[in-house]
Amino acid sequence: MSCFNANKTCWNCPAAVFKGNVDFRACGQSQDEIKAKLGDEGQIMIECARRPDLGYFEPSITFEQCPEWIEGEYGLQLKNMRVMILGMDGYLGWALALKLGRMGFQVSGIDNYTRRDTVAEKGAHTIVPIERMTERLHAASEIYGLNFNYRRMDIRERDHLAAFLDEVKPEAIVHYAEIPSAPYSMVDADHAIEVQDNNTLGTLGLLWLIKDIVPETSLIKLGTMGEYGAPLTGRPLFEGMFPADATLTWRGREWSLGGEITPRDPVSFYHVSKVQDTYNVYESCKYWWLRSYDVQQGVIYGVHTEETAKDPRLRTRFDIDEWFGTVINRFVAQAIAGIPLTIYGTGEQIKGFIALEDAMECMVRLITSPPEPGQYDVVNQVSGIHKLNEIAEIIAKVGKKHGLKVEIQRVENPRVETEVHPLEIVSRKLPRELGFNPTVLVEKEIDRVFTLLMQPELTSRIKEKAHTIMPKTRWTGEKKDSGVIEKYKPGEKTYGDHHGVLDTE
Amino acid sequence: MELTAKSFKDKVLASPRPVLVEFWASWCLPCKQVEPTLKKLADAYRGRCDVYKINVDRNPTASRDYSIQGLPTFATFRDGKELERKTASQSEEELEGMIRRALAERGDGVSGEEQRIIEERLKDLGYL
Ligand SMILES: NC(=O)c1ccc[n+]([C@@H]2O[C@H](COP(=O)([O-])OP(=O)(O)OC[C@H]3O[C@@H](n4cnc5c(N)ncnc54)[C@H](O)[C@@H]3O)[C@@H](O)[C@H]2O)c1
Repeated sequence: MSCFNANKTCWNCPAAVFKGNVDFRACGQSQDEIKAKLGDEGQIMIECARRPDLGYFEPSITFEQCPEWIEGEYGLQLKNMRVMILGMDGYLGWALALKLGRMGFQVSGIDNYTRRDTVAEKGAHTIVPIERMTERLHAASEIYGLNFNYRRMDIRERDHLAAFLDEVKPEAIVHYAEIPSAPYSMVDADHAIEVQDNNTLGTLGLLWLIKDIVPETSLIKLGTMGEYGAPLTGRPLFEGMFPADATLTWRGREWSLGGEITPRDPVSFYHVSKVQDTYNVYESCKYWWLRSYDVQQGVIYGVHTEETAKDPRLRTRFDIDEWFGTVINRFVAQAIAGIPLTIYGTGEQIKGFIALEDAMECMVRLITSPPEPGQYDVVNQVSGIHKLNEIAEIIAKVGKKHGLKVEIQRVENPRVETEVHPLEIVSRKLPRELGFNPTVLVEKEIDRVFTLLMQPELTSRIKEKAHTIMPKTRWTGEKKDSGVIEKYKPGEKTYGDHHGVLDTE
Repeated sequence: MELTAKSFKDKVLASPRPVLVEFWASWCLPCKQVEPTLKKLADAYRGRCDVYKINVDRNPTASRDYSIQGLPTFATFRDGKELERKTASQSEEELEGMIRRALAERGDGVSGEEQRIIEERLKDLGYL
């Protein structure tokens, strides 16, 4: 059976460099220019950056036919493909670097350690201890023989990044390098501005550098499901754009909405930065023929990948404080520390989730299936949807197996969000076009987190920072503890009977 | 389904059957979204009307020859001549309508009441 990316062609390959007769606007306003410029045969030719000896040819070779694309763990992969990870020191960046390295990709990366600094600013720490980057690199080399080309750098230092891009000439860039916290962006004006500056301007500068230095590269840009919000109408959250058969009717007239970017309703100034990124990336694909996947990622949870589990020095970070901890990771730590699980508001909020290991597989599949030049594509990267109160119940159940008595508490919601809402997420591209099948069961990954965090030295790291768990950062700008609304035991309460829908078919 | 400026002559202009062509580009989001609809219509009208796509950036002469001013542009052709053209995202019904009108003009594939309605529409459009 041929694999999911077998029929992609040179059009998708970042090694194909376009030669001759390339016009970025071969319709509309540039008609006259084209007329002036073109002969009768306007065929676009390419040169293969990996095989310049072949000269110029028509870009019609499939990945399956091309000797540069070889069989990998998930379909075909470009031999020694050069992938640059921006934000390589982070929760996802480090896990991905190891995975790609082990799979034979040539990995480079940068980080400015803003995550380490901002967690320290909160007075918190990663529960899973992580080494300094020099030690991490050393361990990766010792254990897997990997040689990452890593630099300490802020993506906003454009001169430095330009030189690094020029040196490495990455064929794919995974852009994780943003400040990923909603509460951090709501602390005060300084924090909100820092998040939007770092994320939005960092990304905007990156796009200009890509255009000038590596226009063929495939940019895998991380967005979040929080860009969409949760429309009360229950309208499905499509993958970025409306499908062709979606229509708008108004006063007896009807229009197709096909291909229009769906409305976004971000839920914090952090999420707003991601929405701005979405438009900046989309526009640069349109203006300059860049190519990008904008990954609307669900909430990540868990600790396990094959590589991070191989040696304590290879583990990735794991945060539980009110700013940087994501909900499942926080709840498990709370269960271990004997803090009732902190549900914000009603707990009826529905969210899309994906386990760390599944998310890493998705990233590999996206890297090995680049969009065509000019193509801006959006994928919803989610493998399950759950209500917060259900997640709390699952965690209590798994905690019980580990001998823990877990309680649940509802606290005043520090956020401004709809607490009871429908949610239907469409996530078809990963399963249907990219061959992704989630393999991690939520209970299984939660169990792995308990197992790791219940090691005595990790448990004491949780207890040491227990004071960073309760939310104090309110969307109103006040600094105030969230009062407890009620406390209860798992299984004691009946929850609302509305449920989310995940549409993968 | 994908044409080049070269194959356009054979597959569209010299086709014995009516043809629906989409002029598209990779940066055009509606063009990508309509792909499944086009595949569905290609299957449904197999043997009666062919459905093709041509990329205007990769085949700028085609874009020039047909003065494509916006994407996606859908056009039907019959006996080497352009019959009808629509620009911007279209619903499946609208695209199917284009195909049926192209077929109807040959008296092909539809009959009776349907034929009468189509002829009326064609008159409105100034084709008959
Ligand atoms: N973890 C999740 O649940 C989740 C969910 C949806 C989306 N995301 C997105 O995925 C990406 C990675 O998330 P993560 O959980 O690994 O976060 P993280 O904070 O652990 O990783 C981001 C890394 O980028 C670095 N960084 C930030 N700004 C930088 C800059 N200007 N220059 C250089 N390096 C910089 C940070 O130091 C950090 O190491 C983020 O863009 C985030 O918004 C994460």
